[in-house]
Amino acid sequence: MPLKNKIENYPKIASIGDSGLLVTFGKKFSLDLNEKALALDAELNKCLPRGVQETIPTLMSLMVRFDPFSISFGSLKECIETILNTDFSANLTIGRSFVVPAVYGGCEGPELDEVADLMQIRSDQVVSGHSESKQRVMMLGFAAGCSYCGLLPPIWDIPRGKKIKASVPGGSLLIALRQTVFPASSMPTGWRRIGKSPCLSFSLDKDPNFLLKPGDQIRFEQVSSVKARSISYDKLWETFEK
Amino acid sequence: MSLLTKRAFTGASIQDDGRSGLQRYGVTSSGGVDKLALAQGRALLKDEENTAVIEFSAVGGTFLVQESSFFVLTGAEAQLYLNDTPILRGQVFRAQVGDEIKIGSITKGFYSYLHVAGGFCTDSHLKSRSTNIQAGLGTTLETGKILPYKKKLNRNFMYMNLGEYCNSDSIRVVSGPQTDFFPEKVFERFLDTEFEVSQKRDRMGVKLNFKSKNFFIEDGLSIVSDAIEVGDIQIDGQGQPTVLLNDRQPTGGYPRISTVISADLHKFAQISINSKFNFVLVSLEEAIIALKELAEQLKTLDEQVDFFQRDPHDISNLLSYSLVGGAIRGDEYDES
Repeated sequence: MPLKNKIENYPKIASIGDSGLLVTFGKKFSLDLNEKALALDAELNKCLPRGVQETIPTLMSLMVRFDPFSISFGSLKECIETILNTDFSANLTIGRSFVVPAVYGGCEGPELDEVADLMQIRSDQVVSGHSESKQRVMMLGFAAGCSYCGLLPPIWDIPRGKKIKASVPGGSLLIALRQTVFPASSMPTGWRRIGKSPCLSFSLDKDPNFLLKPGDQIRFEQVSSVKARSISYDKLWETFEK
Repeated sequence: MSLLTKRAFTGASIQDDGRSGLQRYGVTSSGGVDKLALAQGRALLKDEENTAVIEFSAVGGTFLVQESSFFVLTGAEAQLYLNDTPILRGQVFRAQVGDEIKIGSITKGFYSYLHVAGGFCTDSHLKSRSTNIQAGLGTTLETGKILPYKKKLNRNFMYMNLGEYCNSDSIRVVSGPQTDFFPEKVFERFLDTEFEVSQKRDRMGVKLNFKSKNFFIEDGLSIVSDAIEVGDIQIDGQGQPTVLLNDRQPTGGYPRISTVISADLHKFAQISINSKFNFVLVSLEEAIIALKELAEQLKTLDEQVDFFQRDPHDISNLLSYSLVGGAIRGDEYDES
């Protein structure tokens, strides 16, 4: 039966492959549902059931990968249902807060004006609006260390670009659908680039390798390109860790 | 102690058992796609779990040996030469300093593995040596790249009959969270369709060709991204299926019609380009039983390792062997 004719009950628990379980909290995305996915992730990780190998929170779902020889899908499902029946998301402690410097517009943000046109505001209003917004790292996805941050106010609900850019650099601030995608390495994208941070949130030389975790708060702070050049990468990492 | 890469073709990489626990940070598992082939090579060389090997797809490469050690090729059928002398896959061979190991075209299957005793000890990133080109992790095999190894355990003449490589004509799948996004008729058609492995394939995923109507669904494009599992079969905007493999993206928003079971992932990955197969739906219980059977099979691999024996008729250079060097007259004891 097609989906639209069906009544779906959420949260929905289903098997994914033979060694995975997926909890989906709804059909239409909202920050609330993201909070639920993050809260379940936190709750489950407080005391991981035996046989669970990893948990992967995404925009509004949580995947749990397990060893099917150590725990069955059925027992894991029961275990998760028990948590879902409590008020597990009542006291979600949002992660750490970060202020990340970024250069807006110019060659670092070639599509700033285009975004301003789509939002029907001035470019400087796009910059101030963006850098004043506290955003949540809702998930890391697409590529190593690439964060999906949001949600920005409703005026930021602009579509992705139709044209795919072959490559944008790591640190780019990419905008669409009330979200900022903040990649840690260069990648192809259809999202529009309004700026770039000198800081990359994934490094093989650092400990931890990944700075941002799902649930962290992030705010981008406008700096000049001159200042951005003078920011030492190591210093940035230290300020990140506080 | 190392191999020097003289030439490796695109699609060659270093792989061990991969990374785990990092998908929440956007990093998928990587690791060799044919777990059976990896285990066979390890049994032959008495290697531990997680040793790193060179994985080849479609075409191999040429390597110069800089310190003698023991090697073996497993996985898909490929032409293998030690200084122009052909060597069977599954046969451990010793290569000396200055020898050249050459792996030609893969003739049946898709992924071949060159193992060295003790494994390669190339750079480890995020606790694995596996190459992941998209994430910039592990080692890439450009010309001149040195691939170090350490241990040297004499495993010469060890052999396992790996048999002829057969393309699987049926691959088992289980339904998943988005299977019911597809109308029953579309899903039935998916299971009835004969698919063909296309040339658009790599460690990220394998695009499938088919003759019937495509599998596009209207609702499919409004899905909110979630985590992707290895073996997930996603249906893209053109209604074409892609089976996602070890280097897949961590998240995705295309609907996934079903997932290849763990026990069949290596069989699927090895299907040659243009070969045909069907998907067969099984229950979760059947998938777990199949996985248990595979685990049992892996446990018996040690017993399948034997000394290499050849029919003297097949040995072209028989007379160059010292066949009687160890013979005695029979009266030596009396003399002393």
